[in-house]
Amino acid sequence: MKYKSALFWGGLIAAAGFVLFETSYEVQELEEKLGSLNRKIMVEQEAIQVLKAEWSFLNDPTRLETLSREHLALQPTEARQFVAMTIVPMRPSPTVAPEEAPLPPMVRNQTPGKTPNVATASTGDSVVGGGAIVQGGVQGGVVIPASASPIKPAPIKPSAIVPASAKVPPLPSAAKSAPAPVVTTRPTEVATKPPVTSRTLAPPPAARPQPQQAGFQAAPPPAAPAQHDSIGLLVARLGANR
Amino acid sequence: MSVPPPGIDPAHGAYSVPPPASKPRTSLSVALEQSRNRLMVTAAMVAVVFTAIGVKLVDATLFNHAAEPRPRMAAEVDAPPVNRADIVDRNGNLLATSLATQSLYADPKLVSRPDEVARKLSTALPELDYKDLLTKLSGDKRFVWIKRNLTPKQQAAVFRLGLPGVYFEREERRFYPASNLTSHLVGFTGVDNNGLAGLEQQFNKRLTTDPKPLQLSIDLRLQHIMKKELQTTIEEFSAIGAAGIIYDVRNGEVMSMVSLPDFDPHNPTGLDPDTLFNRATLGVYEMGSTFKIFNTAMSLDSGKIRVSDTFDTINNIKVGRFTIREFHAFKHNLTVAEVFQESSNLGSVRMALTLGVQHQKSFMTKLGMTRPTSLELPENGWPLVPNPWREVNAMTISFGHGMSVSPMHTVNAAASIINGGVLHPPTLLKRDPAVEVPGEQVISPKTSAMMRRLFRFVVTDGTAKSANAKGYVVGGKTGTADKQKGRSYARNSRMSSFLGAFPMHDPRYIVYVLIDEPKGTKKTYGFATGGWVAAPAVGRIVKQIGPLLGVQPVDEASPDVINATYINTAGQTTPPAPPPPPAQPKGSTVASVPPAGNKPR
Repeated sequence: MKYKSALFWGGLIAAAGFVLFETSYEVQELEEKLGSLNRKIMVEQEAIQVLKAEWSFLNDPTRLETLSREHLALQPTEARQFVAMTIVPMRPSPTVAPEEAPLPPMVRNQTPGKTPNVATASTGDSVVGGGAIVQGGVQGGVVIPASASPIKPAPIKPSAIVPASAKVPPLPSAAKSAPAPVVTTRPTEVATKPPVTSRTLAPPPAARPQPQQAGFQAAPPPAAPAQHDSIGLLVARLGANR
Repeated sequence: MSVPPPGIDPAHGAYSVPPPASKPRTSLSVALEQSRNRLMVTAAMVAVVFTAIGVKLVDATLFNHAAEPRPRMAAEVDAPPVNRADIVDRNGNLLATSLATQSLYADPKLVSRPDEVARKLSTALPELDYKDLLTKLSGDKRFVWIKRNLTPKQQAAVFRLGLPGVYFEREERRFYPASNLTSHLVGFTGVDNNGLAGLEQQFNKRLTTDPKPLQLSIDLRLQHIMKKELQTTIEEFSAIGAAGIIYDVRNGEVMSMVSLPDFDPHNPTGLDPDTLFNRATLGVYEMGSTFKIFNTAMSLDSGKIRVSDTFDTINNIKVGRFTIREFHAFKHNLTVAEVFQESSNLGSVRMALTLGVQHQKSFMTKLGMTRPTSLELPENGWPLVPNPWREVNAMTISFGHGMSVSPMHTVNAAASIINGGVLHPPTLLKRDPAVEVPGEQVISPKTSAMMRRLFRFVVTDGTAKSANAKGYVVGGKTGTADKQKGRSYARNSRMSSFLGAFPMHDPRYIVYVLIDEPKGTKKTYGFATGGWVAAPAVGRIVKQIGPLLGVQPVDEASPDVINATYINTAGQTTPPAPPPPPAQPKGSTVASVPPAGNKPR
């Protein structure tokens, strides 16, 4: 009896000891793993820190301005390029549908067949008259300032002006060589996009052969912003108001 | 133990000897007693020690206090792996960050062949000098720095040599992505990463204890525009320096602060001290005519002087050996509005004298002109204030001489003059929108509204027409001060400044530009005054920053704006002419829609 109980207790102690040692080794292994993971995290974080610094260095406003002057045909936004929402004309109702609708002023090199069938109230005169100046407007674009400023001016967003139902389908690729009409710089999270700010920037925009510029051709994004005659009208009027 | 009955001594029963007989045995018993006591004491000590060891053993094994601390936690993912926090601008762009680098050091005791090690190291790192290295490595020290902050490439090169006794240590190095653009603000650190100037010095403790980035009120884009325009102006007028500030009048945030010439914060040593000098905060200058802002506000706020009152601006004033005269003589007496518009010295002096010396002194003190500003920079200048404040001082201070303050003082006080009369302490840190901005009412809102009209008047019809930026309703005040050289004023070296604000019907921002010693050019007909030098720069800056700050351009001819900003030379504030024909739709807008069918011109 005494012998049996001693055996029982001995066995129990041996089992407990075994489990204890197993657990201890397991913990040790996990700790080593944790240590190496933590070291890896540190290395990654240091790398991220370096990348952040590099990103900021590359986004230096002075550098960006030089680059934009070299490769883009953008100019600083002028006060006359901003309009209040109340002044934006509503799209006329599509009851009258003239077949030979004049081209929107900024859409060049476009085959007539592909012209969006859009009703417009503007006469050919106003479009042509505004045309030369429109380019000026196109060049600067209606820029939504990429700032985190508390109060935003009422910017001109194509989607805001035109009801969704009235949107014209995106231009076919034939129009790609035409400059994008409304350049919206999207507010980035870290809003470093400085303005293209140079008074010495360019000769008057109208004097330039726009679509032939190599830099400019590369500029328009593949998905051209929705083009619409009311914006064309608007830009024409802005130009005319100068 | 039971006590034996009295009279019987069981131990000594056999002898039953009277006390004298026990004497020979006494020494033995004493010795026995003594050794027993000693044994007891030793046993007790041993017991105590063993108990202590036992307790400690139990404690160590069961409660695990003595075990080495183990890293049971995962590394924090968001915490930066460096000891010094970043500094970012108001939009989150990095202005200062710490990067981990490796530094090379040696233990000369473990370097067996110094000449060979030195030769190999100087080939791997060509910028090191062989002889210098040799003396370092053959010294008696146990630790010498060889080179700090190696690039990864250099580190790999040294690694490949496999030299004994040469080691790397991880260090941090401060990096400033914006470099010169914010050098006077952010400052710099020394080799051991202690802040030595600017915000790095001011917030040294905060940066080393709190890993969260320090967010400033500065906007990097505005900083760039300001610097560019100041640089252009310096080159155009061959000036020796410049300072510029963009300031939010509603909450006292400094949105841009530039002082030229600036420096590279990565390498600030051995530079001309002039480049390290912050003209915008540390430099105190006689501000010239921009002080007429405060003189006029003081006069109007006292209630004793109205904007339509006339002052003698024909007869010069003689004080002792000085004569106070105008820059350009006037042929008639001027109203307060004209004194401000034309920047008349004599009118300002007579306005100040009407109110008295004490009034001026207390008003200037109220505007914070007699103490350093509350700006968070160690480079914060003390104003030079006359002591005692006599009548002659009051006279000169009325047009901005005889008292020197920093540009920051001027901007801060001017903001309170136009924002409705509340003086906010200036700050370089972004304010929490949830916390109310501290402020103190220094002038009445009515006076402030009148001052806005006068500001606008200077730009529409006064000395600063070139500051206009169409659509942004700029207003302001020019200032030109002759610089004091030694004991007298130099004729040809001056400080030209312009304090502009926009939009004047509802002021949001002040743009201040100060040019140090500009020289007139042919284009300006030889003039180098504030109106010719600084005002056009402010106009250009406003044009560029207006869209960035989200200020909506308005039609300057619209009745709303005219009603809010109109004043004429007689001091009348109601616009006389009927509004232009209502061809334009209502609302303050820039563009107008021409009637359909009309050919646009």
